[in-house]
Amino acid sequence: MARHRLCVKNDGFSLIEVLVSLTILAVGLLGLALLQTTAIKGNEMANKSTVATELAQDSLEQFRRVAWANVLSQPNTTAFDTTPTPIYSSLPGAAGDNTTVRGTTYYRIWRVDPNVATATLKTITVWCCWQDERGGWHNVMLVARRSSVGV
Amino acid sequence: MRSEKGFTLVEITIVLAIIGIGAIIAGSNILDWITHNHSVGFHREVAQMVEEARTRAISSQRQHRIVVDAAAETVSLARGDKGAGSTTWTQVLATITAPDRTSIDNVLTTQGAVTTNTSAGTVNITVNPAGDTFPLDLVRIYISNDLGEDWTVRLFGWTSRVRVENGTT
Repeated sequence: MARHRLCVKNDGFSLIEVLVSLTILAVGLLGLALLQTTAIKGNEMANKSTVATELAQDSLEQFRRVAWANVLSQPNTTAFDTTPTPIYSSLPGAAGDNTTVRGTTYYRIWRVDPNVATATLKTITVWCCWQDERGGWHNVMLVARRSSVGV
Repeated sequence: MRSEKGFTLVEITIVLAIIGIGAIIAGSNILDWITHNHSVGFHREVAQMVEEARTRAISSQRQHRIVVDAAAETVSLARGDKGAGSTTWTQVLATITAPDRTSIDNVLTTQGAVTTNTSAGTVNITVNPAGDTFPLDLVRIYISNDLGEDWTVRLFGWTSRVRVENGTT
């Protein structure tokens, strides 16, 4: 009798056991799915900041080549002049320029500060700003200095 | 006992038919897949050549020129004789030709606010020893294949940095 009962007990899982294990498995799989979307978003973000950095670098390189007299802040600086940070509500506007890469528009604005102590030195700051799918703004800021020697 | 040995003609025919159908489906997909890989290889080669042009221009202090022929579907690289205002150009690498079913659709060059399209001609992109492509601000090379896939090889003019993107926006 006892032997027979032992055999029955070993035969398969009970419904409760199956349900519990399925629940645990489901939670684990949900976590994996969430990880996937996080990874996709992270990649997207990294990709966009790479493009923004390339655009900002391109702008700085352009400043290296233009004549010293033309190393100036962007046109229509009124919205950005007083504070050295991009004001997103002023974008898109007449200030700076913009480029569309794969459906995302990158706005470039720049500011040139003449060095007070050294007249032959200017500090150039370039911001490249873009908006993510949820409407949040991001920017990449690059700073470089240029002297009047050369071009 | 006798019936358990071997297969009947009908059984073998059915199995062969199933294998045949599978092979036909897989075969057409594999051809498309090969075309896809050829296209990907081609646009990567183009991007590589732009990087090569930049590296060579900076290290040799000679102008280099990427010649994109949208009509002949070829891309090649030539070295100039001077650092600026070169007059004679010597080809330095083997010409890259677009594989079958892949084509260079359009070359867009932006200069200031003006963009020029070249869908059936030759575009010369000069890379200067300073690492820029003056006077071009931006170059986009559109590459597509007959599977409806397209890519953009984007060249930022002032740094000569190259970037490959899916799609043409």
